[in-house]
Amino acid sequence: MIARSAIGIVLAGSLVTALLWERTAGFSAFTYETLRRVEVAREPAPVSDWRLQDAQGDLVRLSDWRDQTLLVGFIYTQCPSFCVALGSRYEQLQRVLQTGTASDVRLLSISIDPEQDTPARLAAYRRRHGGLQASWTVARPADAQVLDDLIRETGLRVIPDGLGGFAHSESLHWIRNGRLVRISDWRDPELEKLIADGG
Amino acid sequence: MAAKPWHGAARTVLTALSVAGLLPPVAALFEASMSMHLLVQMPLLAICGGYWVYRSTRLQRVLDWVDPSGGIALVVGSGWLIYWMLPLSLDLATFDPAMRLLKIATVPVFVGAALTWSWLRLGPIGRGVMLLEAWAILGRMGWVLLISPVQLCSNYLIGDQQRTGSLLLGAALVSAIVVAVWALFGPFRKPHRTELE
Repeated sequence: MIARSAIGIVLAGSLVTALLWERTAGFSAFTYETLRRVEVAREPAPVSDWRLQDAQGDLVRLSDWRDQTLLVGFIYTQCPSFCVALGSRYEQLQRVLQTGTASDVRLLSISIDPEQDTPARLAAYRRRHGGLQASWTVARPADAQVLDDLIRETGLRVIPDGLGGFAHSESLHWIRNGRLVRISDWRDPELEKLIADGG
Repeated sequence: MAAKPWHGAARTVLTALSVAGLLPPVAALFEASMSMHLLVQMPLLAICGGYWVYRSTRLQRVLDWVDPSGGIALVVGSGWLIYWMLPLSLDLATFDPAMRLLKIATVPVFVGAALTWSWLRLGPIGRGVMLLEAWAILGRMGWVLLISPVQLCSNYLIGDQQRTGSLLLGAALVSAIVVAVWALFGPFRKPHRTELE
């Protein structure tokens, strides 16, 4: 009976370990945000050709930058914390773009609050962070459908923060040729190097 | 008036649906905050499974044949408990229907029923180890949730996360006090305290 119990326990232990291994992408993802990163790194996800309105009020599409890699961050201009930090980070990254030959990369900030974020507010956001239109586009989804699409396709989670704003993913999304190819932490010190290498 | 037989069945179904969070008002209540989700719904689901093992002699006979030592149940129950305490699983269960279904279907069986069975089978030392490990899990999880500077669940705000952490630590503390009192004054104390061994 002891032998049978021991075999049963070892089998159950192996099964549980294998299951946990599978569910956490090899014990690497314990939060949804890390799981997104691991999954995208394993298998780039296709994204549709989002229609956006930029800070000049012009309609643009992802496919307009077909020959470039896009580094996409999601923001809303009334955001008091993370989006301010992300603005400063983009300003740093923009300097890398200006000095190097890294015109293969374009910075793109997309508003998740298109009702409030008019083109004028988007322009003010970029101006506040010393952003230049040449390498940094700030835009909002052209309509509610586009917002739904980009949330669904990137796996982004947006929830009300209880103060009239939003809590949302702090990751940056690399999009190339209509595919989401990588998700990075905005604080990642490798970002400069990745940008210099053309994404 | 005598209770009609279907009253009992209807009550059971209603309770099951409520605990599973399948009735809209309860679902909103259970998953709206991390503390309700982790500290109310999960334990309720586990208690359902535990109660089933506790009451059903037929199930006990089956388990007695499959896992007479309770060891398999302990391994399965601990593993699955850890899985459902991860922010990842908790998060996915709030917006991924397949994960919600997995939670409802497996937490009663693989956490509640399994841990209850092993508890019934273990002696005092084994039970002591289980309790210690339970406090360790509550303490570790509570501490991580309390001090983490980042929001771990994409669907729960950081304030909610910290509150859940405090509640987990509180649950560990209260249960440890209760068990300590029980051990000191309950049935395990030595009958003649003046006699040293």
